[in-house]
Amino acid sequence: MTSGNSWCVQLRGIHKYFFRGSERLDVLNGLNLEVPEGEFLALMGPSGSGKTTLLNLIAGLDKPSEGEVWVRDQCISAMSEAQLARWRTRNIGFVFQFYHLLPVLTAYENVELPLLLLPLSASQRRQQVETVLELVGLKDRMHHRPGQLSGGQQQRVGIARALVTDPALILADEPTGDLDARSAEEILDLMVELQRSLQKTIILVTHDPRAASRTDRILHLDKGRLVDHLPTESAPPRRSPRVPSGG
Amino acid sequence: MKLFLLVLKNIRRNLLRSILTGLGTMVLVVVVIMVWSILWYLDEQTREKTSNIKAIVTERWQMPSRMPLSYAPELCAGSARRPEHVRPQDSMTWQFYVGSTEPGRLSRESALFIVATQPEKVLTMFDELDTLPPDSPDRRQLEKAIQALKTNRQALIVGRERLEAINKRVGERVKVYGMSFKRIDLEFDIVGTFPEGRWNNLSVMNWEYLNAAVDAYNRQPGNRPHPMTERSLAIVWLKVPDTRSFTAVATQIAASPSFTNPQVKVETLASGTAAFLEAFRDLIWGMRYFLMPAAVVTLCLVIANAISLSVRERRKEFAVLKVLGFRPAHILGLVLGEAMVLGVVSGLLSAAGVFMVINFVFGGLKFPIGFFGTFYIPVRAIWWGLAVGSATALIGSLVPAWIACRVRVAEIFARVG
Ligand SMILES: Nc1ncnc2c1ncn2[C@@H]1O[C@H](COP(=O)(O)OP(=O)(O)OP(=O)(O)O)[C@@H](O)[C@H]1O
Ligand SMILES: [Mg+2]
Repeated sequence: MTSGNSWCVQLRGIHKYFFRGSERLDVLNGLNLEVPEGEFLALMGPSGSGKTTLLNLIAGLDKPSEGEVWVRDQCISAMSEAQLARWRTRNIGFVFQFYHLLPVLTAYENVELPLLLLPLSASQRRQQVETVLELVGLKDRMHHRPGQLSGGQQQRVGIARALVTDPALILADEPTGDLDARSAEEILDLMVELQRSLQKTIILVTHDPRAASRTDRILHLDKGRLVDHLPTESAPPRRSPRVPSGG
Repeated sequence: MKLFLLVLKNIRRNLLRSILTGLGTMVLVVVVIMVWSILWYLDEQTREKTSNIKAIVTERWQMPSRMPLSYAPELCAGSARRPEHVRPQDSMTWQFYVGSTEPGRLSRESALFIVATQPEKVLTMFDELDTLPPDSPDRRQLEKAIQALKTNRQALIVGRERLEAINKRVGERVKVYGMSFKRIDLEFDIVGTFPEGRWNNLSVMNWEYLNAAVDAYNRQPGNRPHPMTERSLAIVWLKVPDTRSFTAVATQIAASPSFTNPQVKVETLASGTAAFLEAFRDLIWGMRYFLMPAAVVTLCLVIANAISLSVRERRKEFAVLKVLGFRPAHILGLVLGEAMVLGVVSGLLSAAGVFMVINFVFGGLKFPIGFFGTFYIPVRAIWWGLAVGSATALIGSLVPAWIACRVRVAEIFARVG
């Protein structure tokens, strides 16, 4: 193990392919990635380039066909499904494009959900839930159902749910993809704030160059590998014929 | 468990579907419970006992059984002729006096099926009446009626439903025109009734009254002896403590020279009942091996269908739960839990409902099989309802729950296609 304490995520020689019938579809091709602790990283790339696939590997939701995934000092690509589930509760916060809150639960209950898997008392849970809802600015809406909240508010609940177990790593798959410009801006402000004040490592998948520009570093997924583009402002137009769809 | 609340909330999510599924479950549980109650009761009646056995002696080759009354004393003694012979603990004789409250016409509103027997035996030999708790109101009322039967030969105890059917009340008089004993018409004082249940349609009279009436008929100048004179005894009941005594008594009776014309047979009540129920074998077989399984399988399918639908709609949700760290076992538990709550609640509700409605509102389940007319839902049926509801819910939801817990997150959130 070479990572010591400075790397939060390390991918080594990752290949990921899917089979469609007899045809092999190579999505990731010998990809390497190192994300230092506390970094806010943007992942960009055309639709279908494998961004979600990559996040799934880092979250232990899928296994690489080849290669190793290390998060902090654990090789998660070698863990069993049940081990991964337990590990995920404490170590990963996931934010989805479409929020994916449970419609039958209130904002409070949605945020509380991951805590139910941990050995905490009801009052400890309440304290943690209220803290994160305060943090995302939704304490006054905590008894609303998702259906009674705007998109931006729902995404705040989604972020609170990702934060509530205090994981080191937050993975966000196009969290602003479904929001109008103002709400998107607010969500990004919130994420920048989280990274600054709570020292979270955040990997943000986005199609939006403006969102990407708020991060520390941008990587582009191209032909199954990651390529650098140095300053955000000068990001060249995509070579890909596909237009970012945002959906 | 902390996740139980989530189960309840999910049931409430599609309330209409949950209610419909619950109602479907309830209807089928009701069917299962009613059929089960009948089968259970018949099984109880035909299960051979090993102690406190009731034996019945009837005519060997003929139905209905008609033996001379002169058989009675020796049969009641179990044909014990020698000191080492086994004697029954208790005995009684039954003669059947079937009559009508209207002359020459037998109808539902007028028929009376009367057992002529020894009054004191009603409390010691009649099924279910012999086990009434000593201080219960039912028992005390019955004791009073039997006292009246002893002192007043013309007394008659009438089962509740019969009493209502002939539109009479306790304390009134009734004239009965003989059908099984033609031209022997009797007047009775109705002195009481039986506890609700098994004897709702039967009546009991003092045997001395009947036999005195037959004698009086025979003594009347110009009358030829009544045709029933030598064949009025239908059944002799014996009570023996155990199987060995039963066999001994049966052997004694079979070996007796007294019972040759007609010959007699000795059976346990259970085997007698079973032989009698042979006539309904196909019906009972159909209920047990067709109706019941059909209802149970349908129930499983109803539940499987409802749970599958709701699982399919929520694939994304299960994937989200997995992302949050829920293990497959959690998700399995959530889905099974939903089905079980539905099954348990509707099973219990319908069982308790059937128990109350059938027993207390309708006064039993009218399902005439031979001399069994009314069946009651036993208290244990509430547990059957619980068991049937939860077991079918479990079985019906196994496959959908398995599908839910195998949801592959990566496939659901990636852009597949
Ligand atoms: N489970 C799977 N089985 C087969 N093919 C898959 C599977 N998961 C992903 N793919 C394929 O892998 C490729 C990458 O998909 P992925 O969802 O990672 O793209 P993406 O970069 O997230 O796209 P978008 O920006 O539209 O969200 C696609 O061609 C997709 O069809
Ligand atoms: Mg994607």
